[in-house]
Amino acid sequence: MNEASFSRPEVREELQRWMGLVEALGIPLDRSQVKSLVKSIGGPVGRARWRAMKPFRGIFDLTGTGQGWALFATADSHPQRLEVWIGVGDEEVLVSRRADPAYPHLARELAFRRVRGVYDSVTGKPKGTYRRFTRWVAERTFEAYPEAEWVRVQQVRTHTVLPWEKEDGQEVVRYALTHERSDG
Amino acid sequence: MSPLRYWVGLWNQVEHPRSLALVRIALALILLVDLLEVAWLDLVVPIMGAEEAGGWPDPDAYKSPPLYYTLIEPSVGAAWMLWGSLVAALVATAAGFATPLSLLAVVLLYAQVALILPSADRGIDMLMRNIFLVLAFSGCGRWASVDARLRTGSWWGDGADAPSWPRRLIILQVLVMYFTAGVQKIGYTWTPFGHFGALYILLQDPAVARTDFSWLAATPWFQLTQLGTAVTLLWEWSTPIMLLFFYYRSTPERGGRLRAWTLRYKLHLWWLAVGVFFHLGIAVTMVLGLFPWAMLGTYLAFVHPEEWRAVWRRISKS
Repeated sequence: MNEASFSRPEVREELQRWMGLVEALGIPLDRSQVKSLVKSIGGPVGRARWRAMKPFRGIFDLTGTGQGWALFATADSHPQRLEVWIGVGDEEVLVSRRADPAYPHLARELAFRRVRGVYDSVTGKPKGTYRRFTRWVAERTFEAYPEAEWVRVQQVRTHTVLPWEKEDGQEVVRYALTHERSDG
Repeated sequence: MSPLRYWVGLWNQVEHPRSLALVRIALALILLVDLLEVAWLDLVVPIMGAEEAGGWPDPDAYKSPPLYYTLIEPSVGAAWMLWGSLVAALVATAAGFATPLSLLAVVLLYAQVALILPSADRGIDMLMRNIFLVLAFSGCGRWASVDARLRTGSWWGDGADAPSWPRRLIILQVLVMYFTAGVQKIGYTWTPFGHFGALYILLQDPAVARTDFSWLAATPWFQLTQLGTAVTLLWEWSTPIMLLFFYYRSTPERGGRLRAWTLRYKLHLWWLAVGVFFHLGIAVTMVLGLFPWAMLGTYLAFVHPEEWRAVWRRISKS
């Protein structure tokens, strides 16, 4: 894990919960200690694995084989919902929202597993693949909505809590990119 | 029997290629449907095309450019050619035509698709490539195939055996996948301390949930998701026990109460049944594409070729 990973809210929350458990056992901890502990374990293990696999790397790359997967190792308590908005005059209109049948534009495409990987994996400043993906969404949206002057693709991060926990109504707009029709 | 002799014998046995052929056909057809969906959604160029042809890949993110686009000039046609070649190789694989070569072509082309746009390639894609690679060397084309028809005059071959090791390796691969998935579930909500809330939280994620599952917060639905979380974790952690079941099945002469009990009640099938339920549950509640179906496709390898024959006989009789 790198420094940027520790600033993600789901990682912070996860860390906080485990630290709370350890502290409840009477072992005092501080955040920086835990971070260096995680780094000190993760770094050498990752490097050792990389060294062990190095002789076979060529075969793995050529065949796309390997053993790297994690089936929901952590349940993301700060999930993101993809949204597509259009601008018509002074109005902003929501036309697509993931898993919301009320806004079904491009629903099938955006739910497709290979497409989900493209926008769900974005971290940091949106660039490269994510930027091209949003341009593609914008092109399809301009075709479907000739009245649209611009298209904005964004993700809204929410906070899932367990049923008895207090909801904080957190909604943070992230990775918003706007494409003007005149951009071509 | 010494452990070494047992180990050598285990990987040196032969059996009818029926189970391997079923895995070949199932996985090829499942991936074929996935690729047809790519075309139907008009995503061939975005996913398989180079940046200059309108694809989504980011050349700056490559450690080295994908081999395909170093050999072939990037264009819309090149993206469609990659898609078409992979589809053709999968059709040949499912039909069992030039089976080993078709399977190798699937692996190499599928790997290029992964390299072109890594974020569109999931863990299940890697698992399928692993299995296709094993199948290429397995003799899975000796049954239910064009190859069998050409070689023996019958679609079902001449009953010649194939090595057992590929089927056992596929089983081991799937078990390793489940076990590592289990030990990696270190998220707080996968544990009793986090109230086994993981499944509930996952089903609130709009990126993967099939529909709105906010109603799961009510009793008794939330408790059911807790049970689902605990069973998932226990089931994945219990994976090594399948190795014991298979060891017992391969050494019935050794006796013992636990072995007899395992064989009598076919415990390996019960473990698999939980897996079937688990993946069908995923298929119903989450939008993960081919994942649950491909996993169920690998389960065909867990059933011995003679057990498939018995199943077929029972179906024919009824």
